Amino acid sequence: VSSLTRPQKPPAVRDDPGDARPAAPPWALFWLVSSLIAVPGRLPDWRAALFDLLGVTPVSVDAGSGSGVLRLVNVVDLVPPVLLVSAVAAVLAAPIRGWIVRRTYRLTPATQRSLAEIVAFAHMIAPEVAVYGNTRRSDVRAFVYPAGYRRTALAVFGGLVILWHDDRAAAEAVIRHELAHRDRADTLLLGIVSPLEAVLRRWGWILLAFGIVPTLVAWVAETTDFFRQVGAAGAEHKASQFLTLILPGLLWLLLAIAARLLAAITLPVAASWSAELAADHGATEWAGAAALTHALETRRSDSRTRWLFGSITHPPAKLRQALARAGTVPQALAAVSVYPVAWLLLLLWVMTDAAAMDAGRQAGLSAIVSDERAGVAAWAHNDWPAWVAALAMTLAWPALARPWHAAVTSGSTARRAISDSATNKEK
Amino acid sequence: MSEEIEAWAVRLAETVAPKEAVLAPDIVDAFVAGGEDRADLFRTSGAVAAGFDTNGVLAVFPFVLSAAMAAGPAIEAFLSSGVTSVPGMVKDVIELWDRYRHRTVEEAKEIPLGSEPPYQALDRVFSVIEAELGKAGIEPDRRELLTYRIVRHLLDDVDDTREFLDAAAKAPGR
Repeated sequence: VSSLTRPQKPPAVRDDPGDARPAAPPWALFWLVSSLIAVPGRLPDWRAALFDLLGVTPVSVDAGSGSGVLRLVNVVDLVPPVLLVSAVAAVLAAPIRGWIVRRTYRLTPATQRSLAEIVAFAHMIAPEVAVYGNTRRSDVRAFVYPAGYRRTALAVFGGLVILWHDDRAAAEAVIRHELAHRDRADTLLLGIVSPLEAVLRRWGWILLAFGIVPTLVAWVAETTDFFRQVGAAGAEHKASQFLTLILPGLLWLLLAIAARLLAAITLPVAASWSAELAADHGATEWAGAAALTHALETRRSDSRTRWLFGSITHPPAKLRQALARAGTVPQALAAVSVYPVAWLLLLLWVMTDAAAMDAGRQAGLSAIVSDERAGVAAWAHNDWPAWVAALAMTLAWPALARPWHAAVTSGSTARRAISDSATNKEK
Repeated sequence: MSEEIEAWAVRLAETVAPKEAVLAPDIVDAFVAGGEDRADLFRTSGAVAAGFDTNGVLAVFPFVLSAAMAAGPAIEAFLSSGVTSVPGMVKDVIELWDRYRHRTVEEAKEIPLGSEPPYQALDRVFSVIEAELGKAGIEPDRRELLTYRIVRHLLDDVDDTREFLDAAAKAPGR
C-alpha cells in the first residue's frame, strides 16, 4: 500500500526516556561475565587441546599416518576460548569497530534530503544518537553499531528509504528495533563487525574444516595403511570391516564433534536470539505487530541452509513474525527465557557427545549410562552458580531494567547535555 | 552533477519506480560518478548480521539507469536515423509496444517493421533495455511494462537523456 493512500498516524514517542525498558536482561553480557569467571576451571582442558593441536603432546606409537591430521579436531575443543577472546575483543575494540563499519559501508552523516524524515524520526525517539547513511545501497535497511564504549550510532540505507515510502509503519518498526538494541547496549558484543558474531556464524565452516575433513582424511590414510600392510587380498576383509566397524565409528566421531561444537555456540547464540527478540518486542510495542511482520519480509525466501550456516545468530524470520503476531507478552517471555532454556539444550549436546564417544569405542550400555550420569553431574556442578545468578537476574529484571537502561545510555545523554549547555551559553 | 540530469532522473523514476523517486537524485549522482559509488548501487552484501537484510538489491532504479546506458548507442542510432519529431517517435514506440504486447515475441518479430533505419533502431532500443532488465532478475511481465515506460521517457526527454548518457559514459564503469 502506498504511503500516499495509507493514512499516516503520528509516530508514538517516548516522553520519558525511562520508559524504554529493555524486555529481557542483557544475556550476552551475562554469558561473557559468567564464562570469564569459569575460565580457571576450563583452562586445563583448553591447554591440553592446544598442546595436542600444536603437536606438543606426543603421538602414541601405534597411531596410524592419519593421526597427525586428526590433531585439527582439537580446534573444535578450542572454540569456547576463541569465542571468549572474540567477545572480549568486540568490547575492547568498540570504537575501532565503529570506524570499520563507517568505512566498510561508506557511511556519511545523514544529511541527504532523502533521509531527512528518517533522521527526524530517529532523533524524536533517541535525540542523542548519531545517524549515518548510505542511500546508494538498497540491499540493507538499517543497523546500529558501536560509536564508542557507551555510544551507539544508527546507520540507514536506501533500502529503508524505499520502505519508508512504501510502508511507513514498517520502516518505523525497523528504526525502533535498531534503537531498542541501543537501549540494551547490545552493540558492545553483538551486531555488525562483531568478532563474536563472525565466529558464531561460521560454525558450519569450522565443523567442515576441523571436523568433517580431518576425520575423512584420517580414514583415507588409515585405509591406505591397511592396503600397504595386507595388499589387495585384504580388500574383501576391509570392505566388511568398513561397513561394520569403521563407518559407524566414523559417524559416531563426527556426531561427537558436531555436538561439542554446538555445545560451544549454544549459549552465545541464545543470548543473541534474546537480544533480537527483545528488540522486536520494543518495535512491536510501539509500531505494532503488522509493521514488524512486514519489515521482516525479505525479497527472496530465506533458505534454511543459508540461515543455518550464515545467520544463526538471528532467530528465523518466520519465528520472529509468529512471535510478533502472538503479542508483546509472548515476545517478552521468549526474550527472557531463550537463554535459560538453552542450558537444557546444552545438556542435550553434552549427553550426545558422551554417548557418541562411547558408542564409537563400542562401549557397553552400562558404561554409556555411567558416563551420561557423570556428564549430567559435571554439567550441573559446573553451571549451578550461573543458574542461580541467571535466576536472580531474571527475577530482579523488572526492577533492574530502568537503571540498566539509564546506565547504558547515560554516556551519550550526558555528552548531549554538555553540548546543549555549551550551545545555550553561546546564545 | 547537473540539476537537469537530477530532474531527468526524478521524472524517470516517477514513471518507472515511483517509490524510489526520492532516491533518484542520489542514485543518478552515484551512477554518473562511477567507480565505487556506482558499485554500491548494485552491491549485495548478503546477510548483515545486525540489520534488516533485504536479501538482495531492493531498488530497481539503478538497473533502469544501467539499461538506459546500455541502450545509449541504439538510442543515438535511432535519433540520427531521420526521425524528425518527438511526437512521431513516441507514436512509433506505442505502436511497437502494442505489437509486442498483443503477440508473442516470435510473432512480433515476424511483423514487418519496415526496412527504414528508424524502426530497426527502435527495435534495438527495446531489445537492449529489456535484456538489461532481464539480467537484473526483473520478472517478464514487469520487464515489458518497464521497458515501454523507459523507452517512452528516454525519447520524450531527448536532450536530458543525451546529457545523462554523455555524463555516465565519462565515468569509470561499475
